[in-house]
Amino acid sequence: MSLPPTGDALLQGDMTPLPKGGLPSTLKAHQPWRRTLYRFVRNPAAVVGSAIVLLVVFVAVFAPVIATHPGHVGSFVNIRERHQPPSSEHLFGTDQVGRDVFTRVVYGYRVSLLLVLVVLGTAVPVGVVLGLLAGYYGGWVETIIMRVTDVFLAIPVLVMALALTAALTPSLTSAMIALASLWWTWHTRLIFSIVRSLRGEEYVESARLLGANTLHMLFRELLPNCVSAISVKVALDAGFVILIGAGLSFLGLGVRPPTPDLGMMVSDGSRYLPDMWWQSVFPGLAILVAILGFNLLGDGLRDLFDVEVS
Amino acid sequence: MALPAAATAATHILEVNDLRVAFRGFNGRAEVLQGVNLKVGRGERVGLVGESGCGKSLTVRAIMGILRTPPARVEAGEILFEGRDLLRMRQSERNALKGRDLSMVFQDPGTSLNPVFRVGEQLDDIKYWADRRRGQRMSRAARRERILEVLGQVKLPEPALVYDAFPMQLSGGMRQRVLIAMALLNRPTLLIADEPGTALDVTTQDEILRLLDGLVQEEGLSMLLISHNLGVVRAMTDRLYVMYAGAVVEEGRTADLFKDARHPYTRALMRCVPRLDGEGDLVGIDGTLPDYADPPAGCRFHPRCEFAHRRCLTRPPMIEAGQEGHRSACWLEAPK
Amino acid sequence: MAYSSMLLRRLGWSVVVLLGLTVVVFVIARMVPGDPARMALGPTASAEQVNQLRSEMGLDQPLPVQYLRFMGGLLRGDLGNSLLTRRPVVNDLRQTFPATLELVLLTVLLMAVTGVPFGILAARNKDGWFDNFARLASLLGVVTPAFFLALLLQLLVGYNVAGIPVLGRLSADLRFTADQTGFMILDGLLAGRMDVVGDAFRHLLLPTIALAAASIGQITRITRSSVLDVSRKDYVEAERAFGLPDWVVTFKYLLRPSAIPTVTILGLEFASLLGNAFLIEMVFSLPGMASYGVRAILQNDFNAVMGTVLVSGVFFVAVNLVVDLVLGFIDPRIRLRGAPA
Repeated sequence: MSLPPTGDALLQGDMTPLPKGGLPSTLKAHQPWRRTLYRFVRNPAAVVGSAIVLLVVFVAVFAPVIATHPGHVGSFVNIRERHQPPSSEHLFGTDQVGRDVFTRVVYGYRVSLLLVLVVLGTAVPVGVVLGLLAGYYGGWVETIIMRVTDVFLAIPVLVMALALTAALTPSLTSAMIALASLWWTWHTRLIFSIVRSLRGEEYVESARLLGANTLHMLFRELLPNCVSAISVKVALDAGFVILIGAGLSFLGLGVRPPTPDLGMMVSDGSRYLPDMWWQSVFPGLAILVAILGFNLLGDGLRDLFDVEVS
Repeated sequence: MALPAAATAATHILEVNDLRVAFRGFNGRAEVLQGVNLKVGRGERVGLVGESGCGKSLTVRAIMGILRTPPARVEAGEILFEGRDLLRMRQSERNALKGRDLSMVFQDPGTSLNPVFRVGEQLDDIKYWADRRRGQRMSRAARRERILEVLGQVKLPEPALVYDAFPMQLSGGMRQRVLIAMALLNRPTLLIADEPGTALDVTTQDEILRLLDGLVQEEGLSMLLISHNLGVVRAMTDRLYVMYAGAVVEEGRTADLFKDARHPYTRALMRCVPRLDGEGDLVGIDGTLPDYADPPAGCRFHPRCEFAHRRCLTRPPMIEAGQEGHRSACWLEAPK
Repeated sequence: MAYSSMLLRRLGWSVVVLLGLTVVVFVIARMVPGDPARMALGPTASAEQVNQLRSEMGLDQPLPVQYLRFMGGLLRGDLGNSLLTRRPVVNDLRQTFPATLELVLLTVLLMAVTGVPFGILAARNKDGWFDNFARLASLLGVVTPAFFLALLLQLLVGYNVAGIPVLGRLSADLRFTADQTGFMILDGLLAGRMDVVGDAFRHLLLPTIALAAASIGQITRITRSSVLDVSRKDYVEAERAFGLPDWVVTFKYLLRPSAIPTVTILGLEFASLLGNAFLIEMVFSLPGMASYGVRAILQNDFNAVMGTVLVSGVFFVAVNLVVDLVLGFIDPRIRLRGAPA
């Protein structure tokens, strides 16, 4: 068999040895975090979601600066300006006592985010710790924790939240307590199922054999594996908390007036439909946007981490 | 230019010519199969070996027509079964061949059976549809008879119980036997076995392989056996293809390859296998498979090859080496 | 056989959960500040009268005793009297629950009939125009608060399209009460009053859509991902390799395994519909259990509150039980092992 013709005369018969490993590759070295960042940026849901979330947070934090009529947040009445449709002066119009809707929406985000921070800030650590304990120890620890969790999970959230909030006299605090006291259950169940599946893994066994103490096991071995699932769930939960919180205040069980609250604004404005539509629609849209942002972020993170979150 | 169907049909039952398959992925286009050529003659037992990721499973999937076509794409080449090009056939014709003349034993018994249906029902459906395509109809009872017969052939202890069982009620070894039964059910002419038994423990795997070997001889089937295990291939094949990074690098009679491997990769592989008589060292091969999105120029093995030289930057063709039918894709075989 | 043992286990577990529910409800009800007896009698009643009522209601007993009294009453079907309506809570609930149930059942029907096919079609059309449309619609459904959607529907559809009413359950001029089953549509059919049936449907149209939207979104997403997941599985590949025709693989061998997450989510959504039904009933002024419950909550009518929460809880547990049983039927792995693979 004769050699096929090659176009390059230099290569023909050239026996110069090549360096071991071949010629250097043109692709950049792959660092894990770089890769995650690369994938994050390529994921439209994650990008749009985080943009929206950042916007919402920004608006809430800088509310005094962004709002056009900061004075309208407290008890403010200006009957002459009531029920003004959206205009250049009042971007979202005014409500039935003359308050600027845009300002109140902007400040309303503060309440929503505060709710998220408090509820998740308490429920998640509690839920995670309980789930770790139940998953790690098993036995009666697991039985007790998980059975209690199951009972709480058997009750629809909104109904429970309604009952609790009402029982504790409606206010922002009682709404926070009501939601937090239910929310930990989901995280407990999630962490429990992750830890239980990890229990059999070799590196867990070997760490234990090497004499690692319980704290180390829980926080240095098991917890890091849950982080991606937790972050996905937290992002999605934030949206859900806002949703339920808005539902509660829509029914009159949230913040006390005159503090602006998005759900309450929608409820107040509903009396004036369809004519003074802006009173309900803008706060409602604001709620929608916030939930959308967190939801997209959570979805994006889930795709990114390729994680199973129920 | 393709030979007339009658002529090719007489020579090889399966012929893969210059098959190129590429993937569209994160880093752009990755050409995985670079032009694979292989042939299986009638009644021949042919092996296809290579390390994980070298493209052997991909080749097989292309042959069986079960490539996942969104990420993967067949870009060129032909796959001739009994002289007819599977790639250019009408879908209905191709479907008619599947599971009938051309059959496959899948690798992982844990995932290749639908968990929510009984074994008997899955086998029954396969038989029913294959028959329909042939224009035949058997009664349900007759089909059951045949299925039980095949289940007995693969030496399952209680075929009737297996027929009614769900996959998860069976052990891994039993499930693998069911997979073999599935492949034999419609009396194929070519059997492709994709690493049978690798998901099982060694003893069970041995049993399965013996069973398979026996059946192939008994039924006079042609077989294409995929494996990464040289020992298995040595015992069960007449001819062998060695694949690396999407191309065949060496081919020839199995005995010839084991006695006198020519391609540096094949030789390195042979060195990796420990010998029972304790002679020789255990040597690995430095480096790993290339990134298909950014492969080395020319011969894809050259970065790991101790004999690499400048000529290797152009891809070598298959060159005759040693005995009849023995060829190696390496410039070292070229006349200087 | 494995199925009946699973059934028993689930049933037993449901009972335990219901017991736990009663404890929780009882505790919450006792957390309500203020004196129920005082509230019942009003500010003008004397201290003696209040005290008398208190001992009648058993409020002076220790908590565990009160709980037992409560449980006793429960088993007799007595949930106490509503402070507002002064009638047995059970009667109030019997009147209002069917209205809510009617809404919920219609919603579930809409969810199943829309969400599942959408999900399957989106999966088959992966990355195509329908898929993208379905995913967008699902996303919007999931992130829009139900009460806001309800208002938007009222605004955009109810007020603009004649013939689609905005509030209430039935037009007043039709003079009909649902006193047989409590289901307006059913009772209308039974009475042969097709005008009632049509009218009731039209009244339920917007509320059903508003209530179903979020769930349809979830169901579409889950169905889609479940179908895609299963179609990637090895066994589907194997089935195709053996020449089973495409439609057999899709409608038989793909459907059953992918039905499992779909049924699960259908069940979850069904069970949690009650929560959102509260909001929808308020917006559309539907005389259901939800608005009854909300009013009770706002007025501290704790018997009514407990009753409503209990019924909601029982409903939730019952639906979950049914879903579990259906899943056990579809998926032999659950039956034989007690848990999905």
